[in-house]
Amino acid sequence: MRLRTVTVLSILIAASAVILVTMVYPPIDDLYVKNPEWNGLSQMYRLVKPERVDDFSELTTIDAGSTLFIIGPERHYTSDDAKAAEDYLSRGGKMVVMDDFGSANTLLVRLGLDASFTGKLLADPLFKDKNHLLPRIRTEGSGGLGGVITIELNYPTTISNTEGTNIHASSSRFSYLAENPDDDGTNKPSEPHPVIVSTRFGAGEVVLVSDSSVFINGMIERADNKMLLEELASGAVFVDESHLEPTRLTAFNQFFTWFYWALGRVEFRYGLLLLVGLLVFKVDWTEKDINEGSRDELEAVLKAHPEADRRVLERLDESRRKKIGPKRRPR
Amino acid sequence: MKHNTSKKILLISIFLLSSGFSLGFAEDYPRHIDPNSLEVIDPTPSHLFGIYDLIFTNILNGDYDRARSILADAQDIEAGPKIDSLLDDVNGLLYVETDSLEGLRDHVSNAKSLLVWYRESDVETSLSQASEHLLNAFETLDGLQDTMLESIVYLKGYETELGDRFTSLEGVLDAYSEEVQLLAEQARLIAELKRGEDPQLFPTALSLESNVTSSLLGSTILLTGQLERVNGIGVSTETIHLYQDGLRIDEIQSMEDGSFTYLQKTPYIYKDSIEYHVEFWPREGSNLIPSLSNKVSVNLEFSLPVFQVDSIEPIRPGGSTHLHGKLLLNDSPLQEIGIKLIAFGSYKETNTISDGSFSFEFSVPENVREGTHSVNLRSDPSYTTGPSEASVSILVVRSDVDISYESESWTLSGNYITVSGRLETGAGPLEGCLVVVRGDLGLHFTSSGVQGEYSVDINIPEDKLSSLYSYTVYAVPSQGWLKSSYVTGSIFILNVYFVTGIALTFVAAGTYWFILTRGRANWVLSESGSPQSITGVPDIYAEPRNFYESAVNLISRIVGQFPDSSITIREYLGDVKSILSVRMYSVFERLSLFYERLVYGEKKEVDTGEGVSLLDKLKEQADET
Repeated sequence: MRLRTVTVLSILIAASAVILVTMVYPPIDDLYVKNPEWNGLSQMYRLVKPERVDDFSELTTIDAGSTLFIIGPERHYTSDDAKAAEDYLSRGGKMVVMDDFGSANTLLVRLGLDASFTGKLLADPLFKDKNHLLPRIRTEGSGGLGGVITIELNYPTTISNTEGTNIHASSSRFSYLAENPDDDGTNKPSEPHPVIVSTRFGAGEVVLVSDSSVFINGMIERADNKMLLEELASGAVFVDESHLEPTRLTAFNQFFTWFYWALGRVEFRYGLLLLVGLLVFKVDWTEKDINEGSRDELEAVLKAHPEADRRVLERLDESRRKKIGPKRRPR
Repeated sequence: MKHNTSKKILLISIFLLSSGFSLGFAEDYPRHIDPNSLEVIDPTPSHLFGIYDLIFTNILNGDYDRARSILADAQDIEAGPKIDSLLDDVNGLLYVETDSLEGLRDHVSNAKSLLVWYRESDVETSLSQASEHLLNAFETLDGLQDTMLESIVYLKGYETELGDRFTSLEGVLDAYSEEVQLLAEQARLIAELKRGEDPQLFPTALSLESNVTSSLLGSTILLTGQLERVNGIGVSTETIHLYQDGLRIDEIQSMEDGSFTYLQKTPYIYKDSIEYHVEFWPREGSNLIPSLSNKVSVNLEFSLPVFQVDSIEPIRPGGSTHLHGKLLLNDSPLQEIGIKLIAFGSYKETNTISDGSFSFEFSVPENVREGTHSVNLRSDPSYTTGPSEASVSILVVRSDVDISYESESWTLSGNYITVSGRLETGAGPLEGCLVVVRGDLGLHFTSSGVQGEYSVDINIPEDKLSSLYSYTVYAVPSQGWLKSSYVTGSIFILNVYFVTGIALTFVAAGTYWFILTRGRANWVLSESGSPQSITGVPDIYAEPRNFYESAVNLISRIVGQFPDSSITIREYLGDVKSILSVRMYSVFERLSLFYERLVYGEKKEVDTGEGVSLLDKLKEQADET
């Protein structure tokens, strides 16, 4: 087998393996509803069965009594996005914005809301789970969150400019704003910080939660997080995915999904077939085969007739090839 | 396959697979941490003392509720197995002490109030009650001091600073102890003072009775009673205050023998019973002690009507409906009774007519949710007829928008397509409803007209490939009683340029293939035996190769000798000459020579039929043999 064949075969095998792995390996994107790992939202997906919004302009077709979750957005919101959100909210929609270090503030600013996510890391040395980066929040039981008593956050931030909003939950008086994850709060002022607030917007409502991780698979079963989800999700539930940045694995996966879809198109399918056909017929396989076959043949004759003169045979073979190509042999 | 080739494949595969895996595995998650992999960090002692400082501060300030609230929070603190058990014990002790301290505070406060009352009014019972509170306060103090000691001793075993915090409570207990002792002393002094200063004070007793235990509203009842000293002597011409349900309603003068009577008309109050009592407050300078009578309860009798209401048909938000009903008392209609309807946050009033019937028209606000709601009816009371209430269920429903639509079944790229139709509800055409047509070509908006009609033009770009264009028509009504709905349709888009291009390509490919397979060409056998064409030479020699190979296979089976790979056509012919029969050899010789001419003859056009014919002859002779 020649090197070129080996290379082509290797590429084909490896590419097939990569495609197979890509298609069967579950997505590992952060805050992705299909991700079954600890950082995904597959459990939330099973609980409230949200519809995934790939295009923010779809909000114009969503019923007013529904809830839209915006969880940890990464892409900035445009003025068209804000208009779609305004339309949805003014018709009575409910929008739950859960963010910490993402791009949700661009939406809040465009909506004209004063409240915003500070982007500062909230930690609590006393009221926490394993350590200060998993603070536990008590809602006092009367914060408009139903029976939710304790919420557990994961690497959260805080909400500022909360004047005029309803504060549903704040961190404990021992919480502090950490400089970095290792900051134990020594010599830092400790005070409560708002983490869940809501405000009216037209006929609708905007709820801000200063942590994108409350409903990830690793957190949803902790404290009353699941109850909080059930409390916040009313009516039909939607999740904004149009402002998430897919990982390369998911992008690759999406490309193959698109490719599969494209194969259903008449032009693409037959165009591809044509291209493959042309490539097959255009490739010149013959010359080297002839030479190589001829050399093999020469070696075989010399082996069978060791008394023959190699130089004579080579000259004969060359003149023959130049004229008509290699000799046909019986098999 | 050679060893080095295998290695190459392996290396290339591993490289590519590695590249593939790296597509998604090199992500990091800066926005949250896997809680299962997180290191446990317990609170530092300074953090713990922070919360206990807060608890002790609230205890010292007497804010026991706040202290208990923070204690409840402290139950959630996880400080590691060793500290957790300590915290549980400390929290338990603190709970006990907080409760005891609050009890102590209440005892002291009550004792103070009762002593003031005794000093002002000379009521003996208040002195005994104050004494009882003080006794309890002493007992609580003892208990607290024991618990405190126990706490301090317990915490010393742990060598923590919490013991100092408990010690700080000792000051509080000392302060309480002093106050309780002071109060006890005051009680003793007041009692002595009362006995020594004014021996002429006379306690009084007051009684009250009613001639009936129940009464129809508006009826008159007779209340009688007696004001007397504790020795049984009646107290005359003193003013007695009459109270009805705690409110003073009149004054009565006692007669010579201390008795008094009062005629009272039971008020039109629609409740089960009413209570009367009398109080005696001596004039200034009197040596009589105030007294309070027993309470006399009189059951009130009145009748309650009932509502008879027609059921209400389901209604949509924004719609109006009628509510009809009757107000009956023992199956008899009640007329001229005020009826109030309370529905969806507002109310309406009307009166019943002669047959007891009433009617309301009311509307359901647009923003009311779908489902069952209640409206309430209340009738006004009238003399002996009490008020009545009833609740009526009303089903608020929202209906779908019916969307009809039509469009062309197919169109060409570069044209417009028109999706049109009509929106209707159960109430008729729907005007002014937002219509959104959504498909691959984006969103298109319009509003429905007077007759509910709508029409959306969609421009199909010229470069749109042939496909089935699926679209969804959404109706998004502004009226709250209507639900959004949608229908889906499709139009086939034909792109003639591409289709023609594909057709031409196929024609070209077919022609190419035809020329390649039917035209002239030379063929050689590759090492694997598959035919391969010589570049530039048409492939027409597939047939001769087959007939010669077939002949060689046949001869090989007959002579039992397969040709060597290096043997020439003529050499093989020579090898089999002596083995084959003359006739068969003759046919095979002609076939071999014909094939030789075919291969080496450089002839552009050769009739291969001769070779096939010779092969058939050879087969016939082989069969005969």
